[in-house]
Amino acid sequence: MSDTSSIERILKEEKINTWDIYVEEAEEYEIQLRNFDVEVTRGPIKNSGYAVRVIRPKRNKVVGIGIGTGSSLEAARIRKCLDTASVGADITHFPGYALPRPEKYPSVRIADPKIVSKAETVVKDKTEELLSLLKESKKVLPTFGKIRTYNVSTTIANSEGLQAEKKETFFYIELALKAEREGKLAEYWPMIPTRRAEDVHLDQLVPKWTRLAEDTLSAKVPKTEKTTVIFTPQTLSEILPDTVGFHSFGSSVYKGVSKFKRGEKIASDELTVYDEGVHDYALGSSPFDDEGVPQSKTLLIEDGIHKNFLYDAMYAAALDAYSTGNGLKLPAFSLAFTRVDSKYSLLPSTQPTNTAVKAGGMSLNEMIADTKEGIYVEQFSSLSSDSLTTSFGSEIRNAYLIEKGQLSTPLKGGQISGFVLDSQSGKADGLLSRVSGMTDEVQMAGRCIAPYMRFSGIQVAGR
Amino acid sequence: MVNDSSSEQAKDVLTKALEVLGDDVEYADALYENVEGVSIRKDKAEERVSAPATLGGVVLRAFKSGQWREMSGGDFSEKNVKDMAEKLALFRPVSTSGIPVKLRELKPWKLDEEVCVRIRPSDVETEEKLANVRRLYNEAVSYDKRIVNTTVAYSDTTLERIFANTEGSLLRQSVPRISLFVMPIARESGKMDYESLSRGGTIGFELINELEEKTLRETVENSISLLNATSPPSGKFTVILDPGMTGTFAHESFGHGCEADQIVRKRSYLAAHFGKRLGFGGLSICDDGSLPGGNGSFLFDDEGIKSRKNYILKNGILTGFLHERYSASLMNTEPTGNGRRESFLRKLFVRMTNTYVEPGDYDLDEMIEDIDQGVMLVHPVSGMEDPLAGGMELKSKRGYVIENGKIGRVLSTLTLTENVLDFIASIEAVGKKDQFNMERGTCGKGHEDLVPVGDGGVYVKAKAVVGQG
Repeated sequence: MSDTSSIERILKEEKINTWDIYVEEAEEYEIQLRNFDVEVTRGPIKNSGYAVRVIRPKRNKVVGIGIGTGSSLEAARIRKCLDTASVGADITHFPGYALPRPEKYPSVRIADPKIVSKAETVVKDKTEELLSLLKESKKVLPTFGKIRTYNVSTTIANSEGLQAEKKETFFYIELALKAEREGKLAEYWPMIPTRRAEDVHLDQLVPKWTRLAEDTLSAKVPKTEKTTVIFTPQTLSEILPDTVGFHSFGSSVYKGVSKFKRGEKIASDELTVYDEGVHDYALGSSPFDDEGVPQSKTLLIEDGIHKNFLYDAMYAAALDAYSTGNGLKLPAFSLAFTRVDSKYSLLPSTQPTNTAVKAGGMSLNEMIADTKEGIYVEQFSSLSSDSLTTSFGSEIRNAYLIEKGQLSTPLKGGQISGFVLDSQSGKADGLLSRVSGMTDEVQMAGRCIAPYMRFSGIQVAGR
Repeated sequence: MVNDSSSEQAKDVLTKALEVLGDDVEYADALYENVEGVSIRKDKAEERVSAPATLGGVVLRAFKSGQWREMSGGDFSEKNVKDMAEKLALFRPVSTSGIPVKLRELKPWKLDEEVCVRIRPSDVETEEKLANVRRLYNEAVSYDKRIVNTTVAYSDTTLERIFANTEGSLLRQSVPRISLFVMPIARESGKMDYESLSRGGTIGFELINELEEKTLRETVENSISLLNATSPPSGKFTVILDPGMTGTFAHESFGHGCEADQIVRKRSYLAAHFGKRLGFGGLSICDDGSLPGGNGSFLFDDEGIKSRKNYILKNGILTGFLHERYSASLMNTEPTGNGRRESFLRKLFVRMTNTYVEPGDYDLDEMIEDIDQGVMLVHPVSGMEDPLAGGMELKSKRGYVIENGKIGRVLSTLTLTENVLDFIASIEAVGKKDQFNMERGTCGKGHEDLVPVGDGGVYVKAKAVVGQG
């Protein structure tokens, strides 16, 4: 399937001159657990397909772009796909487009050699390790578990002579650990998507997850107040890419919906943020984006000042800029991890790669010790934020009260809310204008590379 | 590939594959799917026309000694499906901690039907669909100059699923599904906000033709009204949920705890409450996969079980759980038609279909008139389940302060949290039938495995913690 020559031959026969082809082949293995037993063994789950985009100039910069998708390389199927793309190119309108030309790509590691060579074994081994650690602990019950690998091969070609290929891997683990005491129930429900299985250190994580589940048994609902809150890299990954990313898109500027202006102060002085598309083994890293443009590292916010916007090929053409390698095929649900095996059918749009926050100057222990009163939140129910308004709010699932510089009473229930960015220019009511500390160590979490961050004056609602 | 096969050929391929599995497994089934359709998205700058997310393929599944093994792929050639079946026949389960469950045998049945709609989306040209999207866009942006952008998203799919199993069932269904989403973005003095309109279900293109101009205008007016919205108050209040929010509560907060796979996993706080009274006698919640036009409707589920209406809470009492075949076998009951997959690439789980609160006896005015200080939550954005511990989180796009029995100032983006059992116990009024409405939704099992669902009901009055969303 990775050979694009049969599609290119028919494009030539059909006299279609401006096009690109995206081919994807994916193979998945998975074990799902029910308590300590295997519920189902899945795999190989094989999916492959291609998308052809046909681009037609219209007036001024405006172009029509049509997409056709298929999973068969039979000539009749390819022709049907090209018909669909041609009709789309005739009837649609976009503000501009220039196909990327061949370029040298940066070197970035995105494949786990073990998953490439022995994916099924990786799944079995990791499952055994998990079950062994949990059986040893005897303190919590795994109610369910998912351990999964993906091998994905991608080829992009276009009528400008670009030919780009990559192989990448993904590892996914999700489970829920239940603690029970005197009729009370509590759980911790971690979900970790990574590139490599070895980045999930179960020997360290299982004891931590167990403690969180057990502590939540004695959790209280927080009181309603404004207080200091510490967010983990994982919780930050649920709000930063969708907000800082969205307002940094060239497409948002073009459509008049970005809050950012280059050179304006939008966050606390200590905050520096990059879109970092070439960080080894980060989830959003790749040598090239889904249009074949090299991914890069783009400074978005420096010392609280907005610096640069992100572009895909479309809005680079529309706004006379260069693509920053942010033309990505990402599904609407950013937390959903299931489309890595079938993203070929999506149209690329401007999206963040990895949102990276520059580290601060204290350890997590020092940050907690330095907090007189506040809340440390390990997990929210579902901390999504509204991209446009940047409003967020979520139920606290696993958290601790901080009293006199120490973690004290576990918390569950109630909610934390606010805006990620200032609700209006100069109002300084957004989370990013209330930064009061960052740790000196960053972690990869989802599509984020971030330290633990502390924010002051955050609204908590509860008792 | 894939999808060249006619339906009869597909049935033949599946039947032959199951013959290969023969006596090597206790039970096996095969599901073929083919998806056709189009997605159109237009805003100020772009008009995107694209295909559905997945195109089609097959999944084979075998059961032995209490465990499942499954394989799937997009290649539906007879040779490939036969190869998959031969590999699946070699399935050797790993040892388990207890006595393996036997699947309860079911009587085989046959079906070959299409869910009928007035105007099949597949009979409408893409150009006509795009023309309608442009019309709605133009109408939305022309109402008020404060509308700086509007997104109109239309999509239709026709999902064909063919199911066969080793018990002899052979079923085919074709289910058309359509959705429309309009989001006008208002901006003034540096502040932006939006409301949106969402319609859809297992209905035809008539949905687009019959959308009234006043409905679109109201959505625009709601977007503009949110420019003057304030943040909601924080704390515990008497709340009124609109029918959409009620449906999200019924589905996310209560329904997920009634999924029997969570009971089997020992992950539902509701397991200990079966048969007990949780709410007042006027409160009933059901899940109905056979609801005509419902976004979560179908003829049979992905295990070949006919869709039907199931009560989970009846007259305030927890009366039932939702099942697939394994959980039903283990709990010695019947499967309820709730075994669903996102696609042939994803695992089957117990999933809800169309979940709603049945109508009661109260007028909306009656519910509001004695509230001194409260909040009304309107238009659901999302909800998150907590099946183990019974926490609850619902987000709404819009809300209103209620003061001295009257609806007051508008609020933007709210979050409601509470303990589900406390929330249900606090429900004191359920609205009348004329308020009944179903919303189109998408549900994940946790963070993934998205399936189309419908959520709805009537207005309800309860107590909960409210804050910004």
